[in-house]
Amino acid sequence: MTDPIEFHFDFISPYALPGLVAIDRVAAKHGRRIEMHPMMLGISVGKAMGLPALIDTPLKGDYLMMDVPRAYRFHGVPFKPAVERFMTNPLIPHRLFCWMLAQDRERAEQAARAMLAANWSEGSDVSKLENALPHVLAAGFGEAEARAAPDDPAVKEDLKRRCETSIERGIFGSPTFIVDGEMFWGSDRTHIIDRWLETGGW
Amino acid sequence: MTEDKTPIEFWFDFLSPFGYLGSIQIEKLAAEHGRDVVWRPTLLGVMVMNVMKLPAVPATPLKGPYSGRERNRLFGYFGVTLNPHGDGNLPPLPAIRTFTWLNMRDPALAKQYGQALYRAHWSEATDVTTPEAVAAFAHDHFGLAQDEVFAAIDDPAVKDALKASVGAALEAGVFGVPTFVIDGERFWGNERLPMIERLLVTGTLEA
Repeated sequence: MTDPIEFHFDFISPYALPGLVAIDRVAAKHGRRIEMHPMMLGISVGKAMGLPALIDTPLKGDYLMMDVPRAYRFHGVPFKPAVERFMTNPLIPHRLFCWMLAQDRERAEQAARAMLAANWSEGSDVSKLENALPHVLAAGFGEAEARAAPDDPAVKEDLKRRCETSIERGIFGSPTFIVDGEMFWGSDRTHIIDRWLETGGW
Repeated sequence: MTEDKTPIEFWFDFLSPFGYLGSIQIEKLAAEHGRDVVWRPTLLGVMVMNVMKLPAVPATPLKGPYSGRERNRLFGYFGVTLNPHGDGNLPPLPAIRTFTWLNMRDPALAKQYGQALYRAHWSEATDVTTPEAVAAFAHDHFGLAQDEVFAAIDDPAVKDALKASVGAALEAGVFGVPTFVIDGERFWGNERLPMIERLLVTGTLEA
């Protein structure tokens, strides 16, 4: 099978970028493409699961602060987060991503990758339009339309619909990978996905 | 085994199937790298529900169904037989107090008991859910007197020792099972075994 590996992520998730780097390697090894999809932890964890954010959970919050830099080191990804305690509002990059996806998936993913890298490896807070915009323009999208996209009701609705669909599919964490219909949650599962692709699953 | 290699701490609760998988994998990995593994009991019910104020994973929307699927998949990944007793639910106190009691007397025996009990519940569908079942198991496999096991399960000193161990877990920032502590660094979950392996092989996590 040569279906793409679905990569579901939230821009506010510190594990999204190391997960993307790790799955890129596994996908390349097996000749698979990556297909990026937006999801929002605030909706899955907060609303659907009724849980506090990871960072606000006793014990887990401290573990997270220690574990995140380690995940970057392990996968060889520079770690320079835009915001110290990670919490940014992801609506702008998500809406830009949806708006771009509706036009051209390849260029949309190029911009989404650049925004993720900017936020987590380059210390640039892409929850702000001015910081997100250069990556959108670099992918060949028009500035005036891009500036208007985050306030466009149709774009807002599209993001909402995509988030609802991801919950219906059982997706709750970021990153989540779907490989030939099989769901894997977490940037640290890529070696298991590697085996899954090697063997065709078990 | 060299003097300067500190043992790996393995935090576990028998009710976790992931703990069972971790117990097997970490002993293998540690043995390959000349480390000992010290088994440290804790109680997920106390850590997750009382301290973190979270519902149990199986009862968590979305995560519950995923976790069940992941459990089955991970047993397959490690090539371990998944054949739990009953529906898999294991009230841990009789089993883990017996471990705690043995651990106070003879840690090596306690570990053997722990390994056998984990296997019995998760791979061999053997009942170890009640004091009676645990006493019978401990007698059949380790020749322990059943009345001594009953006494241990109700012994205030054993209860206190377990409570202290749970306290030490929380103190160390341990909240999940399995958690492995290597040279002071915590790793939660079997998915971190590749990280641990790199750390043991190269002394660093860097890619």
